[in-house]
Amino acid sequence: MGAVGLIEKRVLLDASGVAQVLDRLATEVAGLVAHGPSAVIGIQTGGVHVARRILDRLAARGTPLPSVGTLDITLYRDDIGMTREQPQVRRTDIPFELSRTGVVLVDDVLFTGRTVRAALDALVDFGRPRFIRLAVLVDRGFREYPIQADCIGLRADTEPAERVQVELVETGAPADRVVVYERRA
Amino acid sequence: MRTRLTNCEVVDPGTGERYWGWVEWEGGVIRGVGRTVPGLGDPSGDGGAEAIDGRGHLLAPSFVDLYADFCEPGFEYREDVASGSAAAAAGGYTAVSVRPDTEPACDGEDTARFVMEAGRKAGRVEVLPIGAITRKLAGEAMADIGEMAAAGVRAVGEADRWVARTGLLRHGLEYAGNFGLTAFLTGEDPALVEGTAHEGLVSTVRGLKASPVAAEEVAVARHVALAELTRTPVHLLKLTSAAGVRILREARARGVPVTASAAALHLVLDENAVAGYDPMTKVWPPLRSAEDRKALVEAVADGAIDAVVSDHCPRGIEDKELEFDLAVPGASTIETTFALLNRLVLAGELPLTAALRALAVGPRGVLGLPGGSIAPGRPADLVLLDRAVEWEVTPAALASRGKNTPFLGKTLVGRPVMTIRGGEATFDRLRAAR
Amino acid sequence: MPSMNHLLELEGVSREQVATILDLAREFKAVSQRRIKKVPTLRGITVVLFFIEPSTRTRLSFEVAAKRLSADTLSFTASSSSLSKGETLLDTARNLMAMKPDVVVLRHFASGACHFLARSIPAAIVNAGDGAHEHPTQGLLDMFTMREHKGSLDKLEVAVVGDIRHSRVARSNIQGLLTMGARVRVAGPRTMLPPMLDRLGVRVFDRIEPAIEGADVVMMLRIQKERMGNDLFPSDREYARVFGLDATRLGLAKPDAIVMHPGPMNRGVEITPDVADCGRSVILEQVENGVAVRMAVLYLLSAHLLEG
Repeated sequence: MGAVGLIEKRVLLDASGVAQVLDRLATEVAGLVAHGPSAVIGIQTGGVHVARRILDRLAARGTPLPSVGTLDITLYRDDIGMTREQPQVRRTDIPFELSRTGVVLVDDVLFTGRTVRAALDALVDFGRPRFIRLAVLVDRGFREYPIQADCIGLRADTEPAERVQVELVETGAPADRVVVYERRA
Repeated sequence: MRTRLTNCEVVDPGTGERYWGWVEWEGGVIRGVGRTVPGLGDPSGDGGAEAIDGRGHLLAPSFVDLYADFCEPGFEYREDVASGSAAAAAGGYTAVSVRPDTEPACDGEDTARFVMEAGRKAGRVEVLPIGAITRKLAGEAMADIGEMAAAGVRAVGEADRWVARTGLLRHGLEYAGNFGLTAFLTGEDPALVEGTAHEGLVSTVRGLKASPVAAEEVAVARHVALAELTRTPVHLLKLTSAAGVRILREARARGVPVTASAAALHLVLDENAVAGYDPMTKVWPPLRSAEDRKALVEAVADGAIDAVVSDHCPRGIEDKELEFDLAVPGASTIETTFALLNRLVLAGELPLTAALRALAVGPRGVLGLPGGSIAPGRPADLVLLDRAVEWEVTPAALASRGKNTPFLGKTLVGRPVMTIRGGEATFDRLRAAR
Repeated sequence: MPSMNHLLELEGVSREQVATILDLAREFKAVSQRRIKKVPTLRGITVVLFFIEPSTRTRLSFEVAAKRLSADTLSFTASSSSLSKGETLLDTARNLMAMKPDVVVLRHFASGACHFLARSIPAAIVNAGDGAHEHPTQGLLDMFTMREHKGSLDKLEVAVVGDIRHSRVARSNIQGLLTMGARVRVAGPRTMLPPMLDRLGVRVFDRIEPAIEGADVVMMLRIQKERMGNDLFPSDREYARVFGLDATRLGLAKPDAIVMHPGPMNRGVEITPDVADCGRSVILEQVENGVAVRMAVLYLLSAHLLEG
């Protein structure tokens, strides 16, 4: 399921690989949310699905469940106007008191760090969390901001021009995969 | 000196005659006409006359405009008699009847003589001032109609103003009739007018302040009634609606002394032209519905409407660079009237002879001017028309100081190439281009 | 959705574009409900509020919307401007351009003034009401409010009652609602009904009762006090009696019909106080939604103007 203009280059994780990595991430996140009021917040749109998978695993293990939220960072982006298309604003839903809550922010791919920077700005507009931790399914390197994840499913070696995509069945993919694409010349 | 214009298509809209040939004149009077075969030249020889090659263009009697604004005295930033005359000559005209709403108004012999004299100095067209009916066009007291008549004024009118006191208008008409003058009356009953757009679908959707057709009906009916009452000939200027035409036809059928005209713009544009709020499309009276436009064209075609006027209203940028409601109405049109009628001819809506009749014959009839026919003994007042040339309406292409036309930047088809008045070329693109 | 350059009117704005604005407004409404009601999205964007015709409410709504998006705002009202000293709109606007605004929000007494400005200056123009033409953000906020209550605009029966002829609110609602598939009825005395409205697909009534009957939404328009000297109706009292919305007339509408009014209301004239304050009245929600809709419009018009 490659996007238009992209050529599939290699598969970083297949379905069983994705499941293994999520299991480990879930264990780490469980440790972060074990003490005091906590929440897992997925960044729109990829992070929301990864967060949902992690929460499913926590539920399956019988772990006490943290609060759940979604965060859209469009309005906090620093690249508005750099792309021609109109950025789409998606649902931000934080149905709990953020202040004094420990937050695990979840995204699918960590790259330049700009999205996380925007997410941090967005989050603090909702209150003063006890702490914010970051969990990502894939860290592909090439940070432009000094941001690091606390929980990393997979560290991947990539080229800057490549594109890393997390494809999950709930977004219409035939199977769970993490794929590296090359932009078509 | 004799001059012969050869190799042209002669049209005499008065008789409907149309033939390939030549016209020769001397001392401002047509001496002879002749028929030839296209492309074969003139077998009879030019007999020593100066020859002008008409290059296959159309030769018609020159145009006469019953209603234009030359803005002098008082509004020279818009136009003056010299620039207006040059524009009129470029539009194919040899006589122009101009509005009295100058500053001071043309309400006495001094201003009337001043305007006529300015026209003589400019030397392009005969400038015929319309005299005011009321002093200062204020609608309160009668202007010096008799003295203006003595000075050479042929018509009286109140420009685009409404005389609220119908009794005063009646007396003005009666008095003007005394001196053989014609009254030029425009009109919408202002009590029914909210703004300068046709009250219809476009004004409803675009929220434009509007004027219903009834405003014109009331005015036209009033003016017909006064013509009937006073027996002074009334010329109904700038009819815009089917209803106005209906009242006109009925009055003519009853023998009421009325004639009528339509403005060229109203024959080619309708209410849709103002939908974009372009102040250039703002004219008074408003552009009406498509059905109204069609009725006007039909009336020009069958002669119920005698004349097409330019309603030339040169306006400055400061008059037009405004919100639609605040912009001054009017368009600079005198150089495009032929092209606009030619558009109707090319579209098959109006016969060529009817278009030329409305520009050359009808207006002369209203004012009692000679000419309007191409025959020996008639004045050599002629216009040579290129019916096919495409030209872009740019500010530089207009001799008028007024660049305010809805056609600015657009391409029109057809244009006068030479205007001859009293045997002399007052405008000549034909030989200038050589 | 193709990006818009101006918002001059709802006439000609596509169903997809309206839906995009309304969807976006829903997210912006959520922003306004946070503790920190502000996002940094339009930092560096300058919005001029150019109000030739005074309207404190609309101006404040746009100002709040711009500020919640972190845009800078400049207010320019008729009384503070040189327009009162005889300067033309264009001259004043050209002077405004020296402040390099990205967006100009214009309220003006003349229909088409926004079109004129859009042709004349290089800024995105938002029509905040031009004469009797349109008031597109009002139309959008009304549709937003209807959608919140009714779920969808499709086949919604909407009655607009009052001075349709002179109302820009009515025009924007008619255009927008028809585009969105709603069914529009208008009613008012014949003096307040413009000709040929039926050609747009609107049902026109000269009585309020048949217009309200079975309606999902009843929108009452403000009777303009400044028109009172006019000759469109005899008196407030008679207007209230013949064309005003009271509880009995509201009973003709669907049981779950909502009551709307663009404000400010003339209580006791076009609407009785008990109806204005009843549970079915969403008039105050309209005001709140106005900010969200205007945020969406400012965002859509200026997000693409930000340089990276």
